[in-house]
Amino acid sequence: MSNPFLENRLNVNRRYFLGKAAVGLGSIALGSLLIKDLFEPDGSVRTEQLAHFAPKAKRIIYLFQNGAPSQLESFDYKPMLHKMYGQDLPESIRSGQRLTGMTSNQTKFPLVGSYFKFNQHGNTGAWISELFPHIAGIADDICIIRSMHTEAINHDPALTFMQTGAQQGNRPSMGAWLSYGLGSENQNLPGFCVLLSKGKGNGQGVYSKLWTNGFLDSMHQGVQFSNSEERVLYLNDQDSISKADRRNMLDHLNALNHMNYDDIQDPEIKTKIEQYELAYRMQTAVPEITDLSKEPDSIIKLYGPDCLVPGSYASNCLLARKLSESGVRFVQLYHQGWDQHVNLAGEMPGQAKDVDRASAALITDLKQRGLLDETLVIWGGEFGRTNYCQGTLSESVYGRDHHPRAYSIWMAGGGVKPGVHGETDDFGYNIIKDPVHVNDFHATVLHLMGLDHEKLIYKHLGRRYRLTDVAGQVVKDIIA
Amino acid sequence: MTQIQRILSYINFGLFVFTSVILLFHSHLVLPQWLGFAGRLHPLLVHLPIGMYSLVVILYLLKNKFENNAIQPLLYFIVSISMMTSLLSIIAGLFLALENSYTPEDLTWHKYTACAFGLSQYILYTVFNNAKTLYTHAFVILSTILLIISGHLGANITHGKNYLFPDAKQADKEMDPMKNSLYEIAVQPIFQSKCTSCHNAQKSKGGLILTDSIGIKKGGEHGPILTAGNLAESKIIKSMLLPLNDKQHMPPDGKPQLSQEEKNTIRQWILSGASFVKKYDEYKSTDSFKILAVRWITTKKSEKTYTFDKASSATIASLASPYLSIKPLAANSPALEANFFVSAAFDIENLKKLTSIKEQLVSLNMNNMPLDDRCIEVITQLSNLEKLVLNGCKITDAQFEKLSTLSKLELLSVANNKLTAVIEKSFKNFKSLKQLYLNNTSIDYNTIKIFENKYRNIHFYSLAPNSELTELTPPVLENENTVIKKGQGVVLSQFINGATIKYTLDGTDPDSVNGISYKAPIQLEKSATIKAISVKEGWLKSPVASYPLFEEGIEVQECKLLTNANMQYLGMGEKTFINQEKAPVTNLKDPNWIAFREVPFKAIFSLTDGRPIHRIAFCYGVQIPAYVFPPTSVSIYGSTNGKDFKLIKEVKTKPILQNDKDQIYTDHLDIDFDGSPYKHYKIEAQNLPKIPSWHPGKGERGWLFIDEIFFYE
Repeated sequence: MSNPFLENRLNVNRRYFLGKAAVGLGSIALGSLLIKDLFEPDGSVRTEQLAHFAPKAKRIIYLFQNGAPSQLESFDYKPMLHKMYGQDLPESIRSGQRLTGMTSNQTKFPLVGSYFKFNQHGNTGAWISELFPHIAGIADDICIIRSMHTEAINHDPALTFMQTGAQQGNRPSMGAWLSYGLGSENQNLPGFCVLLSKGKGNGQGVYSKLWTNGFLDSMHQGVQFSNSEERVLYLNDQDSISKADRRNMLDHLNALNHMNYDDIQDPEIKTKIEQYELAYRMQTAVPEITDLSKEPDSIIKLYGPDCLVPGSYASNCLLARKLSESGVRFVQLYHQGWDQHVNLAGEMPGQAKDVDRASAALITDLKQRGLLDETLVIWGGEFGRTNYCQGTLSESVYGRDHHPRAYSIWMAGGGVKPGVHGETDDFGYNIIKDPVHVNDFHATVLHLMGLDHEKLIYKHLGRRYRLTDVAGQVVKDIIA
Repeated sequence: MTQIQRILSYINFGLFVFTSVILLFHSHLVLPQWLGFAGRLHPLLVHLPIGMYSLVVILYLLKNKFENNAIQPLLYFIVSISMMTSLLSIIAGLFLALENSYTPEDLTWHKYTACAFGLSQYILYTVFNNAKTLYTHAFVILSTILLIISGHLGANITHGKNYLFPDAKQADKEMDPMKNSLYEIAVQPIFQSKCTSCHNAQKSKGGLILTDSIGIKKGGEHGPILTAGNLAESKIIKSMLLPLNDKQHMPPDGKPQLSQEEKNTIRQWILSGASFVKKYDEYKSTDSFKILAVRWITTKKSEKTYTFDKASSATIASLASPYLSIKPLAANSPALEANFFVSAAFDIENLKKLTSIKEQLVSLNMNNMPLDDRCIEVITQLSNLEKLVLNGCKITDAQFEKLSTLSKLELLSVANNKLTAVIEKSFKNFKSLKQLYLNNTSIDYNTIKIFENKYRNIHFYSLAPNSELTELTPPVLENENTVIKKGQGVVLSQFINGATIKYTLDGTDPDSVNGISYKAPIQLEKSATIKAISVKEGWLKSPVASYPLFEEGIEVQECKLLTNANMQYLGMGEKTFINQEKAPVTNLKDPNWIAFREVPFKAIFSLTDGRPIHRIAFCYGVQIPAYVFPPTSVSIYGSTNGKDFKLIKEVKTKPILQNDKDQIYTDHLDIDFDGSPYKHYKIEAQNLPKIPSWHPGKGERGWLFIDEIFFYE
């Protein structure tokens, strides 16, 4: 009667044991080599969260215009499109470059110029459309980049690319990289905060993967602020719990967590302990910052009275200023509703009205506080829109499809030189001067924050990762 | 081996004689075209003797480590090769010197030291195997020294004099618009970065020197390069604008080119008179050159270097807490910045501790911390502070004046404090102050403008008052449900401090005169649409917000649908009509909606008793772009026994016109009739049978969305 389990044990003889042990010891030796390598200061483990060189900017406020606002109705003036109204986009310009599934079955690509007037503003004479009168008013403070280009042609990959430097969505977001690279200035607030708002225009979703920490420590994850009265959900204690009770509970919980950590050494346990402590401190810090009621009338008028309506873009801008002022490294706003495929003429004025005043107000507000020099403000979407019409073209209606080959964004403050950078051809289709790829944009932003994009690395799954991965050049021309 | 050595010695001798001849008659030589090529190989060839001779020196030093002098033949062979390549390089160099316009003085010394190296090495070569060690020693050393000098001088010619030790002071020199001319601030740096590597006192290509104003005024060998105010006659502009492949284009192809902005700056400088001495203040504010140059002034900041020692990290760690962060300005910088956070957690003891790092502390941010006299006392001891932010710290005029003892303070921000114009008298005491932020203090904007003219060294910041009237936002309804239960108040709120709400219930638009002031929750007596605005002195009144509100209807015992709702929008079934809850029009998926498309709506409602009903409110949603239309007609039938229904009333609605094609709203039909003692009511509502032709869905049936049907006594 043979029991296969017992039989199996008997197979382990001396020779087998020694053979196995040799391989085992070898693996251990190899493993220790690898682990040793892991803890060597080769730059992939940041021991000190400090800038590589003196930073121009200390904080970032990223006003993300989600859905891709049209550059041709905002910052890239193309009179040629008026002259050639209704005519087909010349093949020599498109040169067979790809289309989205939404216009690939169109037989004609009728060119259409902006239905909104353009004027020159500021010392640089930058062309800005009438939809953005307040932004035009700060033309001397902003650097318009008209030569951004990206690789993705649809919203989700383009948005993910813009935020994480990769299209697939498993990498850390910009804010997480900065939190990892520079840490939080204020230990009572997360280093990376996310604020959402929504316009009436055709919208595209935002998802928490956009503010993910990816493979970085989860401490660096963006914290989404809610638009309800309780700005950070589940932060407040229940009425029956006193501050002292909470402290007592946390102390005991921490002790348990430390025991667990000593046992299994999972770094995420440490993160969890720190998160609990951060949340505890946030209980005091957050109400102080999110209380917008003490802002003087002059500020309310600057941002527009919408800034007191929770969940509006204006209120998020004001809150972003308060968070940034309190040392939050990266404040990320998303304003949805910029995806004007069909009714651009009808929807874009509303979208522009939502953001124009408050965006300009944020710059003015930071400037009058002396914070603009150290705060980098970025305004822009994930790609541009086509110079030809999608759907029906009429006197009152036209739309534009996605266009990744050229689009406009602007930056202000934080060591950026005001002016206009880059140029597209007369059709606004291809870039003819100083192109800025998304990787270059990331490299430049990190540079302004005092970080070398080639040195801010994290080792994961056997290789070193960067926000710019294996590409990216700092755009020196826009740096003051 | 000896055979090879002999051949090499003949070659070397020949080359040596040839070199001597060229050197003697150097100034009289005319080079044939094809030899110019050999000359241009000089920068390549020079690397060979440098490498070879270095090897000679190394082996020579190690000679005694080898047994029996074994290295000697090999060493001699290497010396031969080194000799040959040296002579070849010298010959090529002499050719090159003939054809190019190098600055004579640089070249002369390079030439003679190189030839001396050649000679010295030749002597070494000839005596290498025979002479006393002392002599070989001497010539090895002499040749080494000559090679280093000659090599360095040669490198100076190709890479420029500043290559090895760039003049750091030149690059980082801080420009002060008060002292330096605008030319020095905006134009000279362009010349320095793009032109002077060729047009300097040493190299002066084309006889032009661009390093100083004398050279620029003098011009090059073809005369002056610029005429003030005249672009057409300024050669410098011409050479800038010529196409890149033109020979006259400057900087030449292959060298860093001028950016558009730099070209503009030079153009505007010439247009505005090409002055080398005029300062910022002496230009008119409309001068284009000044406008372009101003960006150099405001944006160019050189990094400061600090001479004090670093504070120990242990000290810093002992001071820092979650409420006080202390960090170096950058990695390796000894200077520290400190930030206080969370006013509720502020403790003066933390501030006092900062005095232990007062040498290193250059920046302090105390935004919104509650400060008193004792705190200010501590801050004044932090004598190295350059930047101090005290926004919203409840600073008084007297406390402000005390801050003037901080003699290194360059930036002071005291916004959101109740400061008055009295503080002016202490401005002169601030020794280094450059930026002062006074927004939202009790000092008005015009006074600050006067300060600005009076104290030119200080830049004042304050928000210009906004005289533009701003529209308020409309009040919002706080009640979650628009069906108001008896005794429950209607709560309105608005966001702006000090604004009041005016409302009406009679359908008229309220304004600042017409309308009831909202003070407490409104007790609604019957269904009504509340129209409300916000008003405040100095602001434009808000747009009208309108909220249709319903009083609670009579309880319905049972509802029975006679036709089927659309499968996609079943809501909560029959309960949907009678649960006293409205639905939001923006979300048609809300379970409080129930929709009909294929068939009209028909249902029987049974009340608990036969109370007379006077009114039925039929509530529906409209989203024209989504094919959702109002009912075309609604009919009410009554019955006492639930079987024999009698028409009570039929109401028809107006058709939707093209103007309304974007409309999205909720609405209801109030159907009034004489109170009848029926217990059962049958309601039929017809959805739009054919969508009109202006709509994308023309010809199709319209949707009918119903959220509630109220019965009122």
